[in-house]
Amino acid sequence: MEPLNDDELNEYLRQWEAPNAPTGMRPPSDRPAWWRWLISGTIRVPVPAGLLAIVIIMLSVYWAVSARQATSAPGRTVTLADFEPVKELQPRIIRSGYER
Amino acid sequence: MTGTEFRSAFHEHKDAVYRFAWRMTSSPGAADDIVQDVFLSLLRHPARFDDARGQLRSFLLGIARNLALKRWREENRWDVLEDEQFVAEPVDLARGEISRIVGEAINSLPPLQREVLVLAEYEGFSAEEIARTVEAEVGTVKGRLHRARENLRRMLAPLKQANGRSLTSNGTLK
Repeated sequence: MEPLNDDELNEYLRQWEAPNAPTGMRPPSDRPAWWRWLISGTIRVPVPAGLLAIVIIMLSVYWAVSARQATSAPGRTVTLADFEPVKELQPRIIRSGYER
Repeated sequence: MTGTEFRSAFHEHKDAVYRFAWRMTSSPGAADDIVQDVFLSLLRHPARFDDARGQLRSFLLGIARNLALKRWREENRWDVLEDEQFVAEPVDLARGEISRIVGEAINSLPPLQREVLVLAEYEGFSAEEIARTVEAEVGTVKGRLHRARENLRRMLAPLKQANGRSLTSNGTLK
């Protein structure tokens, strides 16, 4: 197939038109609203710092869960069978000072 | 750069930047993003523009070019930017309008050939201006432009074969 010559190529290239920018396009602003950052902002974190943060968070959660289990562990259940009469009473009378 | 100068530059050059980005990405959404990023870069780093090195339009299109290539690299991680062995396949005339066929042929060129073609043919840049914009040697630019045109000559050859047929009012072959 015979290639196009320069004039023919130029003629075809002219037919590929591109649109202009949309009419509503506004110039960008360098100062976005602070609250917008809370919705769409990003933070770049170096990988080592990110991994360290993940490890610290996981250890904190592990310790918190372990501590809670230790404090809320059920003690031995006490029943009436564990009570028994006193074998020897040793009464001791304590008087106040002005009764002497 | 004052706020007034910045707004003036935006209104003067936004269409050229948008058209270039649209031709490089084939996507209105990507072109929108690139225009915003180009002017945001100018707003944040106005000192990077040195009018002794060229016009503001060349500088802005240079930023747009870098952003378009960055997007291209993200989408085509394993392809090379300039493929000198690129084999141009003739276009399929059944695809419809001539403008669409031409656009698809240009979009199938390797990016470094496409950008010099777009800057030369559609923005009217000289080889020297293109070289400054794409940060390449003038000889390299001329070589890329030559290869781009050679590829298009072969790709669009079927249009010549169909030249006997007439064009409809909306640019399709009948």
